[in-house]
Order: sequence, then structure tokens, then C-alpha cells
Amino acid sequence: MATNDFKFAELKEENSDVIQTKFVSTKKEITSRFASNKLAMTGAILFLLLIIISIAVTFLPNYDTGTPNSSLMDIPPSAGHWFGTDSTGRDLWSRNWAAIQYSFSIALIATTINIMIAILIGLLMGYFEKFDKAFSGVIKIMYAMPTIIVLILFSIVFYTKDPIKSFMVIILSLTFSGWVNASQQVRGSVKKTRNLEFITASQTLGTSRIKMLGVLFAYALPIVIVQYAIIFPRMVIAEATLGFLGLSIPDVPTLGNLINDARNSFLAYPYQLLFPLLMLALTTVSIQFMGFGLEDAILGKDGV
Amino acid sequence: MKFENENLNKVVASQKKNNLLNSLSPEVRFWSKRLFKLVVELILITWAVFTIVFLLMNLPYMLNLQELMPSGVTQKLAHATESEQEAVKMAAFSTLHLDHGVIVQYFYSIKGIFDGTMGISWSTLNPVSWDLWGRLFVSSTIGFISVILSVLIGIPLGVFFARREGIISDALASLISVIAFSIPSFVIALLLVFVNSLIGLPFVFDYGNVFMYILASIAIAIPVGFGYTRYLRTSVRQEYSEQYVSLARVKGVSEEKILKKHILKPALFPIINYFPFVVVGAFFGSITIESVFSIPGTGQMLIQSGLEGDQTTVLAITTLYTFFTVISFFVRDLLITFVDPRIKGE
Repeated sequence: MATNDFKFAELKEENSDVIQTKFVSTKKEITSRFASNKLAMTGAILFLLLIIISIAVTFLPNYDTGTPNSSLMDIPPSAGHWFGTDSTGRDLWSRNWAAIQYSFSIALIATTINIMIAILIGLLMGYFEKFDKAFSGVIKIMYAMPTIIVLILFSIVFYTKDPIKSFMVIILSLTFSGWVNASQQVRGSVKKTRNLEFITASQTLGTSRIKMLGVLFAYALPIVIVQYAIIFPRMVIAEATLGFLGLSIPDVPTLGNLINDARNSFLAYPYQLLFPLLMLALTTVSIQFMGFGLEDAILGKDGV
Repeated sequence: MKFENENLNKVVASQKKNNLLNSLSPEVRFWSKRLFKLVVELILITWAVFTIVFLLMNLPYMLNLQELMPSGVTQKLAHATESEQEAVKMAAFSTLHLDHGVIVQYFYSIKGIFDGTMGISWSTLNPVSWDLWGRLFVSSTIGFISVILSVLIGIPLGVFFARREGIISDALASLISVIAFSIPSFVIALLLVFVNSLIGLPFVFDYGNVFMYILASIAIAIPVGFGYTRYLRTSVRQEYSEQYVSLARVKGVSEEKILKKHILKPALFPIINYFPFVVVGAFFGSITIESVFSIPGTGQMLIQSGLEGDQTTVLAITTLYTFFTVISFFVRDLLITFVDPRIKGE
């Protein structure tokens, strides 16, 4: 074999295989994964639409949530009243959209408080062994505690006609045990991360506990976000359940109250019940879709 | 010398104790430990929930927000003449043990749970147990049927959707999981009432009608069963991707046998994990369901007595529910040990 059989290949930059990997930040990766999930995007758009419409509707001329009108009782959906009127002649179109606003605000506040409690207790339980041992009994009791019963008892015992006090009672009862599961998730994450080498290293170097808790929190953040999407629809449903039993904030159009108003006469006027149920289903389903998408995008699990 | 003797005695005593424990077979030792733990947990948790609910119910009186006047006493007073008022009130208060302080009342209500009366109702002045057991029977029958129905719905559907791939079945599966987690059972109950009223089937409860028990159970079982479907679908798929399944296929084991003999048992794991929540959900979900179908069960009783401020009834029902909850968690652990003997609980 002659040596001139071999030639040096021409080395040009265009010819060489350039493998370029762009650095993608976690945030971007998660966003793109979420955006490529059709179900999640549908949920997100639906959810945003619900909020936008519920606010936009208040500027329309036919928006009127309050005034009862005895001449307009139980009118089926028509040009004047798009969702019809209820048994006291109030416009259901306006009341349904107002209910979205009220129920969302209740759920938002309750969820935020729940998550904050969950973070606090989860971090403490994950980080301090003694606190963990002391508090695990409480968690066991909270798990065994019949949530719905406590929810109902709270609203019965502290029942007031005053809307502001009643609002606080609802928030109190929704946040009594809503945080338990989320706190255990945070605790698990903290327990996992605190055994990582760099945590041990920085602990030996004398990093303060508060700073350490901050780092551990940052690691638990994905779980917290997913839990937010899990707790929020639960709070909407819990409010609807309370309202269904006649225990929500009195005289305020929330989803639960609308369902409660309609349930006695719904065989005669099914539309009165249909619309609030539809709103309830739309909200919970849209958040559920978003939640599944978030779970996929952040935790990388294949759910649904 | 004396010190040594004492020590020796201690050692001998501990050895005896060990011998006693060691003489039992490991299984018996394990189960006796578990049972002991269950009893301790049962007592502690039930007591804690009882105390919390008691405090909650008594808070308005302890803070002097409300005058202590049970509705049963008010009714009695309405029937009494002017001169009898004071005596009737005193008599009623003493049957309810309200003439004592809160702490004594607390012990009386604990005693009530144990003496078979479940306490004296504040609204009827009769023992709570008169009304309770009949209602509990109705509620637990419905709960029991719904647990069975949810398994009957959930497991076949879960296996079906796990084995079938395609756009339609995937969409159906995600629809099912959405229904499971975002539609409360009272909505399903209302829909059932609506459909039944259209078809002309009954939708108001009466004791003798078996159909009504099943209808109420369906409303509870649909979300729960669909929840099963979701969990089972994921876990069956996971199990199918394991290597031992491929090996079994290579060996020529039929698909049917792979599923029944190998896949289903480990795949049932998440379902069993979910079990206590199902049982609890079957009993507590019934609060709204009972309200829809006007079923005279414990859920209705709880709401009614809560609204009337009937403390003893609320306490009795809550205690029962907590009791059931703890037991169902224990049964969950039992089932897990049964499915996978390696896991012997914590």
C-alpha cells in the first residue's frame, strides 16, 4: 500500500461538525416545556380569559349584581339577561362574573396563606430534627382531622351576617388544615437537599442558619409552585361546598352562594344552576390543566 | 455489693422480658407491636380531635360572645308557665351538665362517649345514640356501596386506559382525571338528580328503596373511581416498562397472565395508598350528597346539629369520624404489608 493513498483532509470550518449547545437557563427551559404543553396552555389561556372577562364585564352597561326586581323573576336566558334572572329578579350574567371575582379572591388569599404556613412549617420540620419530631404528632392529628367537618364547624360557630367578619371566618376555616399536605412536600424536599454535599460544606464553613434556610427554600420552590396550583382549585371547590350548604359569606355573589340560591328551584329553572356549575367547572378544570402542565414542566414527571 | 445486686436484678429482669418477647414468633411480635401502636394512636388522635372540636364549639361561650342557651332548653321553656321557668331551666341544665364549669363539662362529654348514650343532645335533651345509630347505618351503607363501586369503576378503567394508546383514549383518560380532581361530588349528584327528573326515575331518598342507596353511592363513587383510574393508569404503564415483563413475554407467557399475575399486584400499590382518603371521602363526601338527595344520614345530622349549636351531637359524630379515619389508615398499612411483605410499616 503506497503512502500516497492517504491524504490530509482539508480542514475548513464549514466542513467540520460544530456541535453548538446553547446554554438554556432553567427558567427558560421550564417556560418552553410549559408552552409546548397544549393542555397546559389551554388551561392557562382559559384561566386568564375568565379573569379578564370577569373584570371587563363590570364596564358593560348591563352590569348589575344587586338589585332585586320583582317584575323580572325567573326569566330564562334572553337578550336583556344573557344568563337569565334568579328567583328575586337579579341578573345572573353579572352575578356569575362577580362570583368569579369573589371566589377567585377568596381562593387566592386562602391559598397564599396556606402556602406560607406550609413553607414555614415544611422548612422548620425539614431542617430542625427536634421540631420535626415534636410536630409530626400534630401533622398526624391534622391528617386524621375530618377537614370538611372542621370547615363546616368553623363557619357555623363563627357565623356572622357581617360580610367582612364572615370573609375572615371563611379564610380562617380554609387555612385551618389546607396547608398540611403541602408542608409535608416541602419537608421532604428540604430533607433531601440538606444532605447534599455543598450544604454540608457550607454548614461547616459556618453559614448562618437563616441563610441556609433561604437556600433550602430556593430548592423547594418548584414544589411550592406546583402545590399552589393544586391548592387553588381545592379552595374554590371548598368555598363552593360551603356555599352549597349555605355557609359561605352571606349576601355576596360567590360561586357557592349562587349554587345555593339555585338548588331549590333548579328542576324548574335548570339554567340558574347550570351557569354557576359551568363557571365552577371551567375554573377548576383550567387550573387543573395548568397544574398538570406545571408539574410536568417543573418536576419532569409525566402526569395526567 | 448492694449496687451490684440491684444491677444484676435489672439484667435478669430484662432478660426475662426479652425471653418472653423472644419466645413469640417474629410475626406475632410484629403484629402485637403494630396493634399496640394502633391502640395508642387511636386513643391519642381521637382525644386530640375531640378536644379541639370541644374547644371550638365552646369558644363563643368561653369568650362570652354568646349566651349559653341550648335550643332544647329554649323549647322546654316555651312550653313552661311563668312560675315554672326557673325550675325547668335548672332541671334541663343539670341533665346537660351545664350547671358546672367548662372543665367539668368536658369530662362529662368524654364520659358520654363511653357510656353508650354518646351524650345528651342539646337540642332534643335525649341521648344522641337514639338517633345516631340509625343514621350511621344509612350513611355507612352508602359509604360501603360507594367504596365497592369506585373499585369496580376504577380498576377496569385504569387497566383499560393503560393498555390502550391513541389520541382518543388519551384524551378520554385526561378527561377522566380532570373529572376526578376538579368536579366535586355534589355537582355529579345534582346532575344525577336532573337526569333522573327528566327520565322520571326517583331522586328523593326513602328507606326502602335500594335504587336510592345506589344512586347516592354512584355520585360519591364517580370522582373517587376516576381518581383510581388515573393512578392505576400511571402505575400499570410503569410496570409494563419493567424488564421482567419483557422477559415474561419472551418466555411466551400470555398477555392475560402477565397482567393478572405480575402487573396488577404491584400496580395496585398507589391505589392502596389512596385507600384511607377514599373511605374517609366516602363518609365525608356524603355530607353534600346527603344534602342533595335529602338522605337522613350522619352528614345531615352533623350540619343540622351544628347549626342548632347542638354540641354533644357534633362531638359524637366527629369522634366517630376520626375513629374511622385512624382505623382506615391502619387498614391501609395492613393492605400494603399484604401486597408487599417487604414493607412492614414504620
